[in-house]
Amino acid sequence: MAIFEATKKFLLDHQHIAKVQVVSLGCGSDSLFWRLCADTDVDSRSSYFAFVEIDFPDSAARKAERIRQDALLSASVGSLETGTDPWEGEILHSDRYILMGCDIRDTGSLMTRISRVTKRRLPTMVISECVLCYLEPRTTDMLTSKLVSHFDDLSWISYDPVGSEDSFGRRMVENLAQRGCGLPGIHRDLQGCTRPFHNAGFCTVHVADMLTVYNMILDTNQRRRIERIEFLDELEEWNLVMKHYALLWASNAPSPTPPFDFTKHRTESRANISAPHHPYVR
Amino acid sequence: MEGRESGLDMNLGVGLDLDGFLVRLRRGEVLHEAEVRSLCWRAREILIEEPNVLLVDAPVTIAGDVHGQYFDLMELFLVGGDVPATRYLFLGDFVDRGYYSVETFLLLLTMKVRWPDRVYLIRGNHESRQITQVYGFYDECVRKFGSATVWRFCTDLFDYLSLGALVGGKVFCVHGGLSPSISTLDQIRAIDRKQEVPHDGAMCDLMWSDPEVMDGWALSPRGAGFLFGGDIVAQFNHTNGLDLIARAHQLVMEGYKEMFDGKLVTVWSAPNYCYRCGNVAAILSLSSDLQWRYHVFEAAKVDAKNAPRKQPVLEYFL
Repeated sequence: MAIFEATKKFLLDHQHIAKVQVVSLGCGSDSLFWRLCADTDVDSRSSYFAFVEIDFPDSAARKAERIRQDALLSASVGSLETGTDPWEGEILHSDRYILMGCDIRDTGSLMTRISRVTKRRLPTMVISECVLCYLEPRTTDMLTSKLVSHFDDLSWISYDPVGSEDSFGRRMVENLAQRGCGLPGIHRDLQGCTRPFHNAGFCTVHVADMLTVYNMILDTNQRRRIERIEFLDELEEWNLVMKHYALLWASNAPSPTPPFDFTKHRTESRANISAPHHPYVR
Repeated sequence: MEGRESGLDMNLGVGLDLDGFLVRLRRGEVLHEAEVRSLCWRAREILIEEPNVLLVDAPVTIAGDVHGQYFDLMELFLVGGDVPATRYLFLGDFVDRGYYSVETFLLLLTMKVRWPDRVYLIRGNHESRQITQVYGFYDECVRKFGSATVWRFCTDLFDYLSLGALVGGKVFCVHGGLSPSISTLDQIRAIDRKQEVPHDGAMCDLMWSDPEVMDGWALSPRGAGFLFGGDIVAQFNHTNGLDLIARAHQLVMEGYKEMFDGKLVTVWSAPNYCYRCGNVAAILSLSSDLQWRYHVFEAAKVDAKNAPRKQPVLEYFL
Protein backbone atom coordinates (compact mmCIF):
# COMPACT_ATOMS: atom_id res chain seq x y z
CA MET A 1 0.00 0.00 0.00
CA ALA A 2 2.85 2.37 0.81
CA ILE A 3 4.38 1.67 -2.60
CA PHE A 4 1.01 2.25 -4.27
CA GLU A 5 0.60 5.58 -2.48
CA ALA A 6 4.16 6.66 -3.28
CA THR A 7 3.82 5.77 -6.96
CA LYS A 8 0.42 7.39 -7.21
CA LYS A 9 1.80 10.59 -5.69
CA PHE A 10 4.67 10.50 -8.17
CA LEU A 11 2.20 10.24 -11.04
CA LEU A 12 -0.18 12.88 -9.71
CA ASP A 13 2.67 15.33 -9.03
CA HIS A 14 3.47 15.25 -12.75
CA GLN A 15 -0.02 14.77 -14.18
CA HIS A 16 -0.72 17.22 -16.98
CA ILE A 17 2.75 18.68 -16.46
CA ALA A 18 5.27 16.19 -17.74
CA LYS A 19 5.71 12.69 -19.05
CA VAL A 20 7.13 10.31 -16.47
CA GLN A 21 8.45 6.75 -16.24
CA VAL A 22 8.11 4.02 -13.65
CA VAL A 23 10.56 1.11 -13.68
CA SER A 24 9.64 -1.86 -11.51
CA LEU A 25 12.56 -4.20 -10.85
CA GLY A 26 11.65 -7.81 -10.07
CA CYS A 27 7.98 -7.08 -10.62
CA GLY A 28 6.74 -10.65 -10.27
CA SER A 29 2.98 -10.88 -10.52
CA ASP A 30 2.52 -7.40 -9.04
CA SER A 31 -0.62 -5.61 -10.18
CA LEU A 32 0.51 -2.06 -9.38
CA PHE A 33 0.18 -0.85 -12.99
CA TRP A 34 -3.44 -2.00 -13.21
CA ARG A 35 -4.38 -0.63 -9.80
CA LEU A 36 -3.00 2.76 -10.79
CA CYS A 37 -4.89 2.67 -14.09
CA ALA A 38 -8.06 1.87 -12.17
CA ASP A 39 -7.57 4.70 -9.71
CA THR A 40 -9.97 7.52 -10.47
CA ASP A 41 -7.42 10.22 -9.66
CA VAL A 42 -4.92 8.94 -12.22
CA ASP A 43 -5.50 9.96 -15.81
CA SER A 44 -4.26 6.78 -17.46
CA ARG A 45 -5.81 7.57 -20.81
CA SER A 46 -3.51 10.47 -21.55
CA SER A 47 -0.55 8.05 -21.57
CA TYR A 48 1.64 10.52 -19.79
CA PHE A 49 3.31 7.75 -17.92
CA ALA A 50 5.18 4.69 -19.18
CA PHE A 51 5.42 1.68 -16.93
CA VAL A 52 8.33 -0.71 -17.40
CA GLU A 53 8.18 -4.02 -15.54
CA ILE A 54 11.21 -6.30 -15.41
CA ASP A 55 11.65 -9.82 -14.12
CA PHE A 56 13.37 -13.09 -15.02
CA PRO A 57 12.40 -14.16 -18.57
CA ASP A 58 10.36 -17.17 -17.46
CA SER A 59 8.49 -15.15 -14.83
CA ALA A 60 7.84 -12.31 -17.27
CA ALA A 61 6.65 -14.79 -19.90
CA ARG A 62 4.09 -16.25 -17.48
CA LYS A 63 2.87 -12.78 -16.62
CA ALA A 64 2.59 -11.86 -20.30
CA GLU A 65 0.51 -14.95 -20.96
CA ARG A 66 -1.82 -14.05 -18.11
CA ILE A 67 -2.20 -10.50 -19.41
CA ARG A 68 -2.94 -11.63 -22.95
CA GLN A 69 -5.60 -14.05 -21.74
CA ASP A 70 -7.47 -11.50 -19.65
CA ALA A 71 -9.53 -8.84 -21.37
CA LEU A 72 -9.45 -6.42 -18.45
CA LEU A 73 -5.69 -6.69 -18.00
CA SER A 74 -5.09 -6.31 -21.73
CA ALA A 75 -7.39 -3.31 -21.96
CA SER A 76 -5.28 -1.29 -19.51
CA VAL A 77 -2.11 -2.21 -21.34
CA GLY A 78 -3.53 -0.96 -24.64
CA SER A 79 -2.57 -1.95 -28.18
CA LEU A 80 0.46 -4.14 -28.20
CA GLU A 81 3.23 -3.36 -30.63
CA THR A 82 5.05 -6.15 -32.32
CA GLY A 83 8.44 -6.22 -33.93
CA THR A 84 11.95 -6.85 -32.88
CA ASP A 85 13.95 -3.63 -33.01
CA PRO A 86 14.23 -1.61 -30.79
CA TRP A 87 12.02 -3.72 -28.60
CA GLU A 88 13.95 -6.90 -29.09
CA GLY A 89 13.55 -9.15 -26.12
CA GLU A 90 10.63 -7.23 -24.70
CA ILE A 91 7.81 -9.60 -24.07
CA LEU A 92 4.98 -7.08 -24.15
CA HIS A 93 5.13 -3.51 -25.40
CA SER A 94 2.49 -0.83 -25.76
CA ASP A 95 2.57 2.96 -25.63
CA ARG A 96 2.27 2.86 -21.85
CA TYR A 97 3.38 -0.56 -20.64
CA ILE A 98 6.51 -2.64 -21.25
CA LEU A 99 7.15 -6.07 -19.79
CA MET A 100 10.78 -7.09 -20.09
CA GLY A 101 12.37 -10.46 -19.38
CA CYS A 102 15.82 -9.77 -17.99
CA ASP A 103 18.02 -10.96 -15.15
CA ILE A 104 18.64 -7.69 -13.28
CA ARG A 105 21.87 -9.10 -11.85
CA ASP A 106 23.30 -8.65 -15.33
CA THR A 107 23.41 -4.90 -14.82
CA GLY A 108 25.15 -4.22 -18.10
CA SER A 109 22.48 -5.90 -20.16
CA LEU A 110 19.77 -4.40 -17.97
CA MET A 111 20.99 -0.84 -18.51
CA THR A 112 21.27 -1.38 -22.26
CA ARG A 113 17.70 -2.54 -22.45
CA ILE A 114 16.33 0.08 -20.05
CA SER A 115 18.03 2.81 -22.09
CA ARG A 116 16.28 1.57 -25.21
CA VAL A 117 12.78 1.86 -23.76
CA THR A 118 13.07 4.95 -21.56
CA LYS A 119 14.25 8.55 -21.89
CA ARG A 120 16.95 9.63 -19.48
CA ARG A 121 15.65 13.17 -19.06
CA LEU A 122 12.13 12.25 -17.99
CA PRO A 123 11.30 12.06 -14.25
CA THR A 124 11.66 8.41 -13.38
CA MET A 125 10.72 6.33 -10.37
CA VAL A 126 12.33 2.96 -9.73
CA ILE A 127 10.45 0.44 -7.56
CA SER A 128 12.07 -2.56 -5.89
CA GLU A 129 9.74 -4.52 -3.62
CA CYS A 130 11.51 -7.40 -1.87
CA VAL A 131 14.19 -7.46 -4.54
CA LEU A 132 17.39 -5.95 -3.17
CA CYS A 133 17.38 -8.41 -0.25
CA TYR A 134 17.96 -11.23 -2.76
CA LEU A 135 20.89 -9.51 -4.45
CA GLU A 136 24.52 -9.59 -3.43
CA PRO A 137 25.48 -6.18 -2.05
CA ARG A 138 27.87 -5.49 -4.93
CA THR A 139 25.04 -6.07 -7.41
CA THR A 140 22.86 -3.55 -5.58
CA ASP A 141 25.78 -1.11 -5.57
CA MET A 142 26.08 -1.45 -9.34
CA LEU A 143 22.34 -1.13 -9.90
CA THR A 144 21.99 1.99 -7.81
CA SER A 145 25.02 3.74 -9.22
CA LYS A 146 24.21 2.87 -12.85
CA LEU A 147 20.61 3.96 -12.57
CA VAL A 148 21.35 7.20 -10.74
CA SER A 149 24.03 8.04 -13.30
CA HIS A 150 21.69 7.33 -16.17
CA PHE A 151 18.55 9.25 -15.22
CA ASP A 152 18.59 13.01 -14.68
CA ASP A 153 15.65 13.01 -12.29
CA LEU A 154 15.44 9.69 -10.45
CA SER A 155 13.57 8.65 -7.33
CA TRP A 156 13.64 5.13 -5.95
CA ILE A 157 11.29 3.42 -3.56
CA SER A 158 12.40 0.14 -2.02
CA TYR A 159 10.83 -2.31 0.43
CA ASP A 160 12.89 -5.09 1.99
CA PRO A 161 13.32 -7.16 5.13
CA VAL A 162 15.82 -5.68 7.57
CA GLY A 163 17.39 -6.43 10.93
CA SER A 164 19.34 -9.63 10.46
CA GLU A 165 21.22 -9.42 13.76
CA ASP A 166 18.52 -9.71 16.43
CA SER A 167 16.76 -12.94 17.41
CA PHE A 168 13.78 -12.43 15.12
CA GLY A 169 16.01 -11.46 12.20
CA ARG A 170 18.41 -14.36 12.73
CA ARG A 171 15.48 -16.78 12.95
CA MET A 172 13.96 -15.28 9.75
CA VAL A 173 17.23 -15.70 7.86
CA GLU A 174 17.59 -19.30 9.16
CA ASN A 175 13.97 -20.24 8.45
CA LEU A 176 14.16 -18.98 4.89
CA ALA A 177 17.60 -20.52 4.32
CA GLN A 178 16.17 -23.91 5.34
CA ARG A 179 13.73 -23.52 2.48
CA GLY A 180 16.42 -22.62 -0.02
CA CYS A 181 15.71 -18.90 0.09
CA GLY A 182 18.85 -16.92 0.85
CA LEU A 183 18.87 -13.25 1.80
CA PRO A 184 22.36 -12.12 0.84
CA GLY A 185 21.27 -8.49 0.64
CA ILE A 186 19.53 -8.14 4.02
CA HIS A 187 20.96 -5.34 6.15
CA ARG A 188 21.48 -5.49 9.88
CA ASP A 189 19.70 -2.16 10.45
CA LEU A 190 17.96 0.75 8.75
CA GLN A 191 21.22 2.65 8.41
CA GLY A 192 22.65 -0.21 6.40
CA CYS A 193 19.75 0.04 3.94
CA THR A 194 20.67 3.62 3.07
CA ARG A 195 24.34 2.96 2.39
CA PRO A 196 24.10 1.75 -1.24
CA PHE A 197 22.00 4.78 -2.09
CA HIS A 198 24.30 7.29 -0.36
CA ASN A 199 27.32 5.60 -1.94
CA ALA A 200 25.73 5.75 -5.39
CA GLY A 201 25.24 9.49 -5.08
CA PHE A 202 21.57 9.96 -4.25
CA CYS A 203 21.25 13.39 -2.58
CA THR A 204 18.30 12.49 -0.41
CA VAL A 205 17.70 9.16 1.27
CA HIS A 206 14.95 8.45 3.80
CA VAL A 207 14.20 5.15 5.49
CA ALA A 208 11.71 3.96 8.09
CA ASP A 209 10.62 0.60 9.39
CA MET A 210 7.12 -0.48 8.43
CA LEU A 211 5.79 -0.08 11.96
CA THR A 212 6.67 3.60 11.74
CA VAL A 213 5.22 3.82 8.26
CA TYR A 214 2.00 2.12 9.36
CA ASN A 215 1.47 4.03 12.59
CA MET A 216 2.88 7.43 11.74
CA ILE A 217 2.86 7.90 8.04
CA LEU A 218 -0.24 6.21 6.66
CA ASP A 219 -3.28 8.26 7.46
CA THR A 220 -5.94 7.18 9.93
CA ASN A 221 -8.56 6.42 7.26
CA GLN A 222 -6.18 4.11 5.44
CA ARG A 223 -5.33 2.30 8.66
CA ARG A 224 -8.98 1.94 9.66
CA ARG A 225 -9.79 0.51 6.22
CA ILE A 226 -7.05 -2.10 6.62
CA GLU A 227 -8.07 -2.94 10.19
CA ARG A 228 -11.63 -3.62 9.18
CA ILE A 229 -10.50 -6.26 6.70
CA GLU A 230 -8.99 -8.59 9.26
CA PHE A 231 -9.10 -8.68 13.03
CA LEU A 232 -5.64 -8.70 14.57
CA ASP A 233 -5.08 -8.50 18.29
CA GLU A 234 -1.59 -9.93 18.73
CA LEU A 235 0.25 -6.69 18.47
CA GLU A 236 3.61 -7.74 19.88
CA GLU A 237 4.14 -10.14 17.02
CA TRP A 238 2.80 -7.60 14.52
CA ASN A 239 5.19 -4.96 15.89
CA LEU A 240 8.09 -7.40 15.70
CA VAL A 241 7.37 -8.37 12.11
CA MET A 242 6.73 -4.79 10.99
CA LYS A 243 9.99 -3.57 12.53
CA HIS A 244 11.81 -6.07 10.34
CA TYR A 245 10.69 -4.54 7.08
CA ALA A 246 11.97 -1.21 5.80
CA LEU A 247 10.61 1.34 3.35
CA LEU A 248 13.28 3.47 1.71
CA TRP A 249 12.93 6.44 -0.58
CA ALA A 250 15.84 8.05 -2.37
CA SER A 251 16.14 10.84 -4.92
CA ASN A 252 18.81 12.59 -6.95
CA ALA A 253 16.60 15.59 -7.63
CA PRO A 254 17.81 18.96 -6.32
CA SER A 255 14.42 19.67 -4.71
CA PRO A 256 13.04 16.27 -3.87
CA THR A 257 9.49 15.74 -2.71
CA PRO A 258 9.30 12.56 -0.65
CA PRO A 259 5.99 10.71 -0.85
CA PHE A 260 5.69 10.63 2.94
CA ASP A 261 6.84 12.71 5.86
CA PHE A 262 9.64 10.44 7.02
CA THR A 263 10.54 12.88 9.76
CA LYS A 264 7.36 12.15 11.74
CA HIS A 265 8.24 10.47 14.99
CA ARG A 266 6.15 9.75 18.04
CA THR A 267 6.93 7.80 21.17
CA GLU A 268 5.99 4.21 20.81
CA SER A 269 3.49 4.08 23.65
CA ARG A 270 0.60 1.96 22.54
CA ALA A 271 -1.70 4.32 24.35
CA ASN A 272 -0.98 6.79 21.52
CA ILE A 273 -2.24 4.42 18.88
CA SER A 274 -5.94 4.84 18.32
CA ALA A 275 -7.96 1.77 19.16
CA PRO A 276 -8.73 -0.20 16.01
CA HIS A 277 -12.17 -1.09 14.88
CA HIS A 278 -13.12 -4.23 16.78
CA PRO A 279 -15.27 -6.44 14.53
CA TYR A 280 -17.20 -7.85 17.47
CA VAL A 281 -17.96 -4.53 19.11
CA ARG A 282 -20.93 -2.42 18.06
CA MET B 1 -4.05 -51.85 38.22
CA GLU B 2 -2.78 -50.18 41.37
CA GLY B 3 -2.64 -46.44 41.25
CA ARG B 4 -4.71 -46.12 38.09
CA GLU B 5 -7.50 -43.68 38.13
CA SER B 6 -10.56 -44.85 36.27
CA GLY B 7 -14.16 -43.90 36.11
CA LEU B 8 -17.19 -44.25 33.98
CA ASP B 9 -18.69 -41.49 31.98
CA MET B 10 -22.30 -41.65 32.99
CA ASN B 11 -23.56 -40.63 29.61
CA LEU B 12 -21.68 -42.89 27.33
CA GLY B 13 -20.16 -45.60 29.47
CA VAL B 14 -16.68 -45.04 28.08
CA GLY B 15 -14.02 -45.72 30.68
CA LEU B 16 -11.50 -43.05 31.56
CA ASP B 17 -8.07 -44.63 31.36
CA LEU B 18 -6.23 -41.53 32.45
CA ASP B 19 -2.84 -43.16 32.85
CA GLY B 20 -3.27 -44.74 29.43
CA PHE B 21 -4.25 -41.34 28.02
CA LEU B 22 -1.12 -39.81 29.54
CA VAL B 23 1.16 -42.41 27.98
CA ARG B 24 -0.38 -41.85 24.57
CA LEU B 25 -0.50 -38.06 24.84
CA ARG B 26 3.13 -37.92 26.00
CA ARG B 27 3.96 -39.81 22.82
CA GLY B 28 2.19 -37.09 20.88
CA GLU B 29 -0.82 -39.26 20.04
CA VAL B 30 -4.28 -37.82 19.80
CA LEU B 31 -7.18 -39.40 21.72
CA HIS B 32 -10.31 -40.73 20.04
CA GLU B 33 -13.38 -38.56 19.89
CA ALA B 34 -15.29 -40.68 22.43
CA GLU B 35 -12.34 -40.47 24.82
CA VAL B 36 -12.25 -36.68 24.46
CA ARG B 37 -15.97 -36.57 25.25
CA SER B 38 -15.46 -38.58 28.45
CA LEU B 39 -12.41 -36.58 29.44
CA CYS B 40 -14.21 -33.25 28.96
CA TRP B 41 -17.22 -34.49 30.90
CA ARG B 42 -15.04 -35.53 33.81
CA ALA B 43 -13.03 -32.31 33.63
CA ARG B 44 -16.23 -30.31 33.70
CA GLU B 45 -17.18 -31.96 36.97
CA ILE B 46 -13.88 -30.85 38.47
CA LEU B 47 -13.76 -27.34 37.03
CA ILE B 48 -17.37 -26.53 37.93
CA GLU B 49 -16.44 -26.87 41.60
CA GLU B 50 -13.48 -24.54 41.34
CA PRO B 51 -13.99 -20.87 42.24
CA ASN B 52 -13.48 -17.93 39.88
CA VAL B 53 -10.26 -17.18 41.74
CA LEU B 54 -8.46 -20.44 42.42
CA LEU B 55 -6.72 -20.70 45.77
CA VAL B 56 -3.38 -22.31 45.02
CA ASP B 57 -0.74 -23.25 47.54
CA ALA B 58 2.92 -22.57 47.04
CA PRO B 59 5.28 -24.01 45.94
CA VAL B 60 3.93 -23.74 42.41
CA THR B 61 5.36 -23.10 38.98
CA ILE B 62 3.48 -20.61 36.85
CA ALA B 63 3.46 -20.87 33.08
CA GLY B 64 2.19 -18.36 30.53
CA ASP B 65 0.88 -18.85 26.99
CA VAL B 66 1.70 -22.18 25.38
CA HIS B 67 -0.35 -21.82 22.17
CA GLY B 68 -0.31 -25.35 20.92
CA GLN B 69 3.49 -25.64 20.94
CA TYR B 70 3.40 -29.21 22.21
CA PHE B 71 7.10 -30.02 21.89
CA ASP B 72 7.99 -26.82 23.69
CA LEU B 73 5.58 -27.84 26.45
CA MET B 74 7.66 -31.01 26.79
CA GLU B 75 10.68 -28.76 27.12
CA LEU B 76 8.85 -26.77 29.79
CA PHE B 77 8.32 -29.93 31.84
CA LEU B 78 12.00 -30.83 31.49
CA VAL B 79 12.92 -27.43 32.87
CA GLY B 80 10.27 -27.09 35.54
CA GLY B 81 9.94 -30.70 36.56
CA ASP B 82 7.38 -33.40 35.83
CA VAL B 83 3.79 -33.42 36.94
CA PRO B 84 2.80 -34.32 39.69
CA ALA B 85 6.12 -33.73 41.48
CA THR B 86 5.92 -30.08 40.45
CA ARG B 87 2.67 -28.24 40.93
CA TYR B 88 1.77 -26.09 37.92
CA LEU B 89 -0.54 -23.18 37.24
CA PHE B 90 -1.08 -22.43 33.55
CA LEU B 91 -2.34 -18.95 32.74
CA GLY B 92 -4.42 -19.82 29.67
CA ASP B 93 -3.94 -19.62 25.89
CA PHE B 94 -3.27 -23.36 25.56
CA VAL B 95 -4.52 -23.43 21.98
CA ASP B 96 -4.24 -21.57 18.66
CA ARG B 97 -1.23 -20.42 16.61
CA GLY B 98 0.91 -23.54 17.19
CA TYR B 99 0.31 -26.74 15.23
CA TYR B 100 -0.45 -29.07 18.13
CA SER B 101 -3.20 -27.33 20.07
CA VAL B 102 -5.20 -30.58 20.29
CA GLU B 103 -2.36 -32.60 21.82
CA THR B 104 -1.37 -29.71 24.08
CA PHE B 105 -4.80 -29.08 25.51
CA LEU B 106 -5.71 -32.75 25.88
CA LEU B 107 -2.46 -33.42 27.74
CA LEU B 108 -2.99 -30.53 30.15
CA LEU B 109 -6.61 -31.52 30.63
CA THR B 110 -5.74 -35.15 31.34
CA MET B 111 -3.14 -34.04 33.84
CA LYS B 112 -5.76 -31.80 35.47
CA VAL B 113 -8.24 -34.63 35.77
CA ARG B 114 -5.57 -37.08 36.97
CA TRP B 115 -4.05 -34.68 39.52
CA PRO B 116 -6.59 -31.92 40.19
CA ASP B 117 -4.57 -30.33 42.96
CA ARG B 118 -1.26 -30.48 41.10
CA VAL B 119 -2.31 -28.85 37.83
CA TYR B 120 -4.35 -25.66 37.66
CA LEU B 121 -5.67 -24.11 34.48
CA ILE B 122 -7.16 -20.65 34.10
CA ARG B 123 -8.80 -19.17 31.04
CA GLY B 124 -7.04 -17.09 28.43
CA ASN B 125 -8.60 -14.98 25.70
CA HIS B 126 -7.95 -17.80 23.21
CA GLU B 127 -10.16 -20.19 25.19
CA SER B 128 -13.06 -18.82 23.19
CA ARG B 129 -15.32 -20.05 20.41
CA GLN B 130 -14.83 -16.92 18.32
CA ILE B 131 -11.06 -16.62 18.69
CA THR B 132 -10.35 -20.31 18.05
CA GLN B 133 -12.21 -20.08 14.76
CA VAL B 134 -9.79 -17.38 13.64
CA TYR B 135 -6.47 -18.56 15.04
CA GLY B 136 -6.28 -22.25 14.26
CA PHE B 137 -7.74 -24.53 16.95
CA TYR B 138 -11.03 -25.05 15.10
CA ASP B 139 -9.23 -25.87 11.84
CA GLU B 140 -6.86 -28.22 13.62
CA CYS B 141 -9.75 -30.12 15.25
CA VAL B 142 -11.52 -30.53 11.93
CA ARG B 143 -8.29 -31.69 10.30
CA LYS B 144 -7.41 -34.22 13.04
CA PHE B 145 -10.91 -35.51 13.85
CA GLY B 146 -12.81 -34.95 10.61
CA SER B 147 -15.47 -32.76 12.25
CA ALA B 148 -15.96 -29.91 14.70
CA THR B 149 -17.28 -32.17 17.48
CA VAL B 150 -14.09 -32.19 19.54
CA TRP B 151 -13.80 -28.43 19.10
CA ARG B 152 -17.31 -28.11 20.56
CA PHE B 153 -16.45 -30.36 23.52
CA CYS B 154 -13.38 -28.25 24.26
CA THR B 155 -14.95 -24.84 23.77
CA ASP B 156 -17.91 -25.84 25.95
CA LEU B 157 -15.38 -26.86 28.59
CA PHE B 158 -13.53 -23.53 28.30
CA ASP B 159 -16.61 -21.86 29.82
CA TYR B 160 -15.87 -23.66 33.09
CA LEU B 161 -12.26 -22.53 33.44
CA SER B 162 -11.51 -20.19 36.33
CA LEU B 163 -10.70 -16.55 35.68
CA GLY B 164 -7.73 -16.15 37.96
CA ALA B 165 -5.74 -17.57 40.84
CA LEU B 166 -4.32 -16.43 44.14
CA VAL B 167 -1.11 -18.06 45.30
CA GLY B 168 -0.31 -17.93 48.97
CA GLY B 169 -2.71 -15.03 49.36
CA LYS B 170 -0.12 -12.71 47.85
CA VAL B 171 0.36 -13.41 44.15
CA PHE B 172 -2.64 -12.75 41.93
CA CYS B 173 -2.53 -14.59 38.62
CA VAL B 174 -4.63 -13.74 35.59
CA HIS B 175 -4.24 -14.18 31.86
CA GLY B 176 -4.48 -10.56 30.67
CA GLY B 177 -4.77 -7.98 33.39
CA LEU B 178 -6.97 -5.62 35.28
CA SER B 179 -10.36 -4.03 34.62
CA PRO B 180 -11.71 -0.59 35.40
CA SER B 181 -14.80 -2.44 36.66
CA ILE B 182 -12.80 -4.39 39.24
CA SER B 183 -10.95 -3.11 42.25
CA THR B 184 -11.19 -6.14 44.56
CA LEU B 185 -10.78 -9.88 44.22
CA ASP B 186 -14.27 -10.29 45.63
CA GLN B 187 -15.66 -8.52 42.59
CA ILE B 188 -14.00 -11.17 40.42
CA ARG B 189 -15.50 -13.86 42.61
CA ALA B 190 -18.96 -12.41 41.95
CA ILE B 191 -18.74 -12.79 38.15
CA ASP B 192 -20.81 -15.46 36.45
CA ARG B 193 -18.01 -16.96 34.43
CA LYS B 194 -19.82 -19.84 32.75
CA GLN B 195 -20.22 -18.21 29.38
CA GLU B 196 -18.33 -17.40 26.21
CA VAL B 197 -15.76 -14.63 26.77
CA PRO B 198 -17.79 -11.44 26.45
CA HIS B 199 -16.81 -8.62 24.08
CA ASP B 200 -16.49 -6.16 26.94
CA GLY B 201 -16.93 -5.86 30.67
CA ALA B 202 -15.01 -7.20 33.62
CA MET B 203 -14.61 -10.82 32.50
CA CYS B 204 -13.41 -9.70 29.08
CA ASP B 205 -10.94 -7.22 30.56
CA LEU B 206 -9.33 -9.85 32.82
CA MET B 207 -8.44 -11.86 29.73
CA TRP B 208 -7.58 -9.05 27.33
CA SER B 209 -5.99 -6.12 29.19
CA ASP B 210 -2.32 -5.19 29.10
CA PRO B 211 -0.06 -3.16 31.39
CA GLU B 212 1.47 -0.04 29.91
CA VAL B 213 4.10 2.39 31.16
CA MET B 214 1.77 5.26 31.97
CA ASP B 215 -0.76 6.27 34.60
CA GLY B 216 -4.45 5.46 34.57
CA TRP B 217 -6.44 3.65 31.88
CA ALA B 218 -6.43 3.83 28.09
CA LEU B 219 -8.24 2.10 25.26
CA SER B 220 -6.43 -1.03 24.16
CA PRO B 221 -5.09 -1.20 20.59
CA ARG B 222 -6.19 -4.86 20.64
CA GLY B 223 -9.81 -3.74 20.42
CA ALA B 224 -10.79 -5.45 23.71
CA GLY B 225 -9.75 -4.90 27.31
CA PHE B 226 -7.80 -1.85 28.41
CA LEU B 227 -4.29 -0.62 28.98
CA PHE B 228 -3.59 0.00 32.67
CA GLY B 229 -0.73 1.90 34.26
CA GLY B 230 1.60 1.53 37.21
CA ASP B 231 -0.61 3.54 39.53
CA ILE B 232 -3.52 1.19 38.83
CA VAL B 233 -1.34 -1.82 39.65
CA ALA B 234 -0.03 -0.22 42.85
CA GLN B 235 -3.55 0.56 43.98
CA PHE B 236 -4.90 -2.91 43.15
CA ASN B 237 -2.02 -4.62 44.94
CA HIS B 238 -2.44 -2.39 47.96
CA THR B 239 -6.23 -2.83 48.15
CA ASN B 240 -5.98 -6.60 47.88
CA GLY B 241 -2.87 -7.17 49.97
CA LEU B 242 -0.84 -8.48 47.06
CA ASP B 243 2.90 -8.57 46.44
CA LEU B 244 2.70 -9.35 42.74
CA ILE B 245 0.42 -9.74 39.73
CA ALA B 246 1.59 -12.54 37.44
CA ARG B 247 0.06 -12.51 33.98
CA ALA B 248 0.77 -13.63 30.44
CA HIS B 249 -0.97 -12.61 27.18
CA GLN B 250 1.88 -10.65 25.63
CA LEU B 251 4.88 -12.00 23.76
CA VAL B 252 8.07 -11.20 25.67
CA MET B 253 11.32 -11.78 23.81
CA GLU B 254 13.24 -12.54 27.02
CA GLY B 255 10.56 -14.93 28.32
CA TYR B 256 9.54 -12.77 31.25
CA LYS B 257 9.32 -9.05 31.94
CA GLU B 258 8.88 -7.29 35.24
CA MET B 259 7.20 -3.89 35.40
CA PHE B 260 6.37 -1.21 37.96
CA ASP B 261 9.22 -1.99 40.38
CA GLY B 262 8.43 -5.68 40.37
CA LYS B 263 4.72 -5.30 41.13
CA LEU B 264 3.72 -7.07 37.93
CA VAL B 265 5.36 -9.66 35.73
CA THR B 266 4.49 -11.02 32.30
CA VAL B 267 5.41 -14.67 31.84
CA TRP B 268 5.52 -16.09 28.30
CA SER B 269 6.00 -19.82 27.82
CA ALA B 270 5.96 -20.29 24.03
CA PRO B 271 9.59 -20.16 22.81
CA ASN B 272 10.22 -19.14 19.18
CA TYR B 273 6.55 -18.19 19.05
CA CYS B 274 4.83 -19.17 15.82
CA TYR B 275 8.13 -20.77 14.85
CA ARG B 276 9.45 -17.39 13.79
CA CYS B 277 9.70 -14.86 16.60
CA GLY B 278 13.05 -16.09 17.88
CA ASN B 279 12.12 -15.45 21.52
CA VAL B 280 12.99 -17.50 24.57
CA ALA B 281 10.30 -18.59 27.05
CA ALA B 282 10.07 -18.63 30.81
CA ILE B 283 8.26 -20.11 33.77
CA LEU B 284 8.05 -18.58 37.21
CA SER B 285 8.66 -20.80 40.23
CA LEU B 286 7.28 -19.67 43.56
CA SER B 287 8.75 -21.37 46.61
CA SER B 288 6.82 -22.19 49.78
CA ASP B 289 7.70 -18.80 51.20
CA LEU B 290 6.83 -17.09 47.92
CA GLN B 291 10.38 -16.36 46.79
CA TRP B 292 10.33 -16.26 43.04
CA ARG B 293 12.73 -17.56 40.41
CA TYR B 294 12.49 -17.49 36.64
CA HIS B 295 13.59 -20.37 34.47
CA VAL B 296 14.24 -19.43 30.88
CA PHE B 297 14.20 -22.01 28.11
CA GLU B 298 14.48 -22.24 24.35
CA ALA B 299 12.43 -24.09 21.78
CA ALA B 300 12.82 -27.84 21.64
CA LYS B 301 15.12 -29.05 18.90
CA VAL B 302 13.69 -32.51 18.32
CA ASP B 303 10.26 -34.07 18.62
CA ALA B 304 9.28 -36.96 20.85
CA LYS B 305 10.41 -39.52 18.31
CA ASN B 306 13.83 -37.91 18.20
CA ALA B 307 13.48 -36.83 14.60
CA PRO B 308 14.12 -33.27 13.44
CA ARG B 309 11.04 -31.15 13.83
CA LYS B 310 8.71 -30.90 10.85
CA GLN B 311 9.08 -27.57 9.17
CA PRO B 312 5.92 -25.58 9.64
CA VAL B 313 4.57 -23.21 7.03
CA LEU B 314 6.00 -19.76 7.60
CA GLU B 315 4.59 -16.33 7.00
CA TYR B 316 7.00 -13.74 5.76
CA PHE B 317 6.71 -11.08 3.08
CA LEU B 318 8.80 -12.37 0.24
